[in-house]
Formats: sequence, structure tokens, C-alpha cells
Amino acid sequence: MSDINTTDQHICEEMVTKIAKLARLRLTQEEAGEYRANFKDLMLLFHELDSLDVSQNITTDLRLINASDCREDIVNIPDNTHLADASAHYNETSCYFDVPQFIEYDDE
Amino acid sequence: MNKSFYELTVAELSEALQNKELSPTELVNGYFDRIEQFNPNLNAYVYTDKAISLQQAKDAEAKIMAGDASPLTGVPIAQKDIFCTQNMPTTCGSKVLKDFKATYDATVIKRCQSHGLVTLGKLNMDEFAMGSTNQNSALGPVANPWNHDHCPGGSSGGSAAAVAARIAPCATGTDTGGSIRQPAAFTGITGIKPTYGRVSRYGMIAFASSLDQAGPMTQTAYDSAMLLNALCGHDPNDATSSTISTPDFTENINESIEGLKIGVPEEYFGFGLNPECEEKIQNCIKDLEKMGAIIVPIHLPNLKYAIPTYYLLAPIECASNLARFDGVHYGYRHPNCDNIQDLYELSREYGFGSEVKRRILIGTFASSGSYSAEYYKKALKAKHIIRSDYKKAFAEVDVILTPTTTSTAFKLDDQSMTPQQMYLSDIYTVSVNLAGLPGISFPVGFSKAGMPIGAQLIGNRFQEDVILKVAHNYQKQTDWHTHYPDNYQS
Repeated sequence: MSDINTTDQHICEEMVTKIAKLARLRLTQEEAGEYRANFKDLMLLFHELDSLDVSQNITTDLRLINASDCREDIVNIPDNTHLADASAHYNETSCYFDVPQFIEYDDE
Repeated sequence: MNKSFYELTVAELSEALQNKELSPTELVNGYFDRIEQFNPNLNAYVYTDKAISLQQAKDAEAKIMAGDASPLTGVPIAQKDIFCTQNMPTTCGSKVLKDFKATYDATVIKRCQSHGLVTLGKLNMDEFAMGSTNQNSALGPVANPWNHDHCPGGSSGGSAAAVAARIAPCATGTDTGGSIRQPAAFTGITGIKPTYGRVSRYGMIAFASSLDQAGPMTQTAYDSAMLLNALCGHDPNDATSSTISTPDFTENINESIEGLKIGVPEEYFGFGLNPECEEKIQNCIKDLEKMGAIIVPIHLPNLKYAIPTYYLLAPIECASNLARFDGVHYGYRHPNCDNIQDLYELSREYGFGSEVKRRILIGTFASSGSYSAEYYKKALKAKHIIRSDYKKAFAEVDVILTPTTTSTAFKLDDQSMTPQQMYLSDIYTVSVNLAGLPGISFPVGFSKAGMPIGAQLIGNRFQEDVILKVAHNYQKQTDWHTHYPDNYQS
């Protein structure tokens, strides 16, 4: 089991309320304290995956080919090129909009 | 008939109904008497409407009289409160959905109705199916019928308690990381999680969409097979619903298991497993061997990664799925808000319980920005590796036998367990969801304290019939599945 790295430690102690804001939750001070303690335990659990060899070529972005078939709210846009004009965050490679990293550190 | 009506299995009820020895109306009246008598102490049912149940019984009766009945017509069933129902509220165990009435029926509900099953009511559950004790319900905890100081497990704790207490002959449950199999083991009943995609998720309130799957909870494996016949099948409303044809799960269930290879993974035994549970599982293995099965020791080397993988993937999907409960569209809306941000944050803060908020926070963190690569992508790769382990194992064996749980049912209000320790207790069930495989839990004995112990059979993809056959053969030779608590024998 590897140790919690500095980044995670920082998140445990400082960032719970920021994450809550992102998740649209307004935590009480008591709750924030409780979740901070949970986060520390859980980070240790998640870092158990560090010892797993994931270097082999495993695709993680498989998409269902029929996933959109039954959705009525899908807008069919035959030509994606103009989406780049719609937003500076449009990524032509992935055909999705890039999402900025919301969690920032005070010292960055 | 030597048994009281409430002791009858689904198969026995079916026969009695078809032979007109019992009527659906009699059954509804009988079960409602028992619900009135026992539910106040159990808290398994969160909603009943006798008028609706009696009307459905009347319709079933007409079908039976007209010779237009399915084998399940007139059999009562209770539904986990995660399935949308048009004529009854759907709370999902949450304050967020207090008084919510869906505008449509879930496919599971529609299929039950089309087979003539009569709904007795909606059953309690952990909020949004997140929990292993049923203490995370906004509608109060459920007691284990075997001992009211213990929980029935979760998240389908209401379903398990209702079947174990014989206040429903069968129930529906859902299983994202063991929520059918763990409560089935804790209450001495049989519960099956089908292969991912077998049963439609349409109208089943989502927790983690890539792992959620509905299934039946019954007294016997044969009953589960009968109910699966009704519940399974392709649904165009669910893009992940399988197009593979549904067999008759009862057709080959009586076949012998002689020569069938049962894999027993070493990693599931030893450290962390309660010795009483281990003893009962070993006895079950010996019994199956006597029936002609071949026991094959196998390895699933990456089992230890299942818990961190599951507790990353499930919360990430949960954070996304539960984003819709914001006080704007439907559900709880906080009354004193000055702006839209307050409305979102306060509605969610007061609407969700603490376990749901914990998982939303974990999921939001692990999926945001660059952390997505560190946590989410790694977890997806680990999931792939765990699936590969099972694939290799099924090249050698037909089914895999393991314990369902590490111990018997937890005590209610046990403050000694942290959330992390509670998550670790799911070790034997979560990998089955990660691999999308079918798994069944069935009773194999009792602890010295009189609490039920369950074993789990894991099958290859879309081979529910094989695990049902093994469990049914075991139940033909043993009587653990016929036991139910003394306090409910009246």
C-alpha cells in the first residue's frame, strides 16, 4: 500500500468544501470535518490500486454504439466543424468540449 | 394443504392459484393482515394501498377464470421503492423524493403487471441504494426478522426482510455491489443478480448505471427462476438492455449437477472471513461434491483491487446520476432561498442523507479535472483486469462458489465500523458487478447465535440457468431455505 501523496493530503485537509461547492452541496462545518476524516481513509484505500500493473494497453473509452438510439434529446449535427466557433473549449479530436479543472490550490 | 398460505413458495402458490385452491383476493387479504401485524416492528414496507392490490387481484382472478393466466398470475409481489410506479409514490428511500409520483411505470413493474403479479406495496431501502445495512433510509431503518437488534443488510433490506418474515412471497431488489445477494444472505433467503443487461433498467432510479441490475428475491432458487422468466428480456427503452434471447430458466433446473465443475477461489477464504461462515460454506462444498460436482481450486489474483475499484467507479457514476436532484426539476426544494445557487445547494444539502453526500463528494473529486486520469481511468483499467481474471477462471470451471458475506448480519447502530470498514465488507460481491456476471446467494446454515449464513454462486455471462440449477439441486437436498423466524409463524 502506498502512502498518501502531498496532493491528496492537501485535498483531505483543505478541499472538502471546494469539492462540495462543485457538487452543489452546502456542507455544515461539522459535516465537512467528518468527510475530511473519511477522505483520508478512502484515499489510502484508493491508492491500493497503485500496486496494480495497469501498463498493458487497456481501452477505457469504449462507447456503446447504440447508446443514443433511444434518446429524443440528441441533436443530430452532421457537420461538427462549426462547433469550434461555438466555444473555445471544443476539442476537435475528441469531439467533446474540454472541461476545465475546477479544483485549484491557493498556492498555485 | 399442510402449509399456511404465507409459507408457500411462489411455485406452490402458482399451483394453488391455477387449481383454484386459493384466490388472488384471499392472498391479498391474508398478506395485508400479516403486514398490519408485523410491519410496524420491521419497517419493511414504506407504502401499501390495499384498494390497488385488491383491484389487481380481481383482474388476476378474471384471467385465471378465463384460462388466460401465466404461471405467475395472482401471485403477490412487493416492489423495492427504487422502481418508478405510476399509481404509488416512489421515494428511493430519500427525502429528496418525498411524495414523488412517477409519470410512468418502470419496465420491471410493467413486466410484473403483464404477467399478472399482484403488487402488495413498496419496500424500504438504503437511500438511492447506497448502503449495506438499510440504516441509510430517510424512512427509518429496517429490522432483521431473525433478530430485531440486527440489520437485514442493504440496500434491498426491505425486500429481504419482507420475504424472510413471510409478509411477501417474493420481492424485487436491485444490486449495484451486492444489494440483492448480501441482504439475502443476512436474512436466509435466495436472491439473484442477473447478468448486466438481462433486466431492463428503464424506470429504475439510477445509482451507478454501468453496475446496476435488478433481480428477484425469493424463498427458493426455483422461485427466482420463475420470476426471472417474467423480468428478463430486451427493452428498447434501455440502451444497455441485452438482445440475447431469454431462455426458460426453469426448463433445465432439475438436471443433475454430476460432472459440473465448481471453482473455489482461494482468495475468498481465510483472512477476514468469520470462521462460522467459513465452516458452513465448506459444508456446502462437501454437499455439492456428494451430489457429483467436481470441486476445482482456482485463483482470482486481483480480487483485492475490487473494493477500491468499485468505490471509485460507483461514486463517480452516482455523482453524475444524482446531479439531476437539484430542487428545480422535481423532488425536495428548500423553501428559503434568495438565488439559484442557494436553491441548488440547500435543496441538495437538506434533501440527501450523509452516505449519499459522502459518495457524491468522492465521485465529484475523483472525476474532476486531472484527477480523472489518476483515479477514474486507473479504476476502469482495474475493472478490465478483474473481468479478465473471471474470464480465465470460466475457461476452467462452470461456476464459482464463494461466501456471500464476511460475517452474519451487523448489529443495528453499530458505531464501531467506519464507512471504509463497511465498504470492505462488500469484498465478496462487488467484483461480480464489476465483471457484469450473474450471482446468486442462497442459505447454507445458521450461526450459533441463530443468524443466517449464505453462499454465493457466480456464473459466466448469461448463464443464470447454470447457477440456478446448482442452487436448486442443493435446495432439493437441504432444508435451510425452508427456515423462517419463530416470531413470524402465526
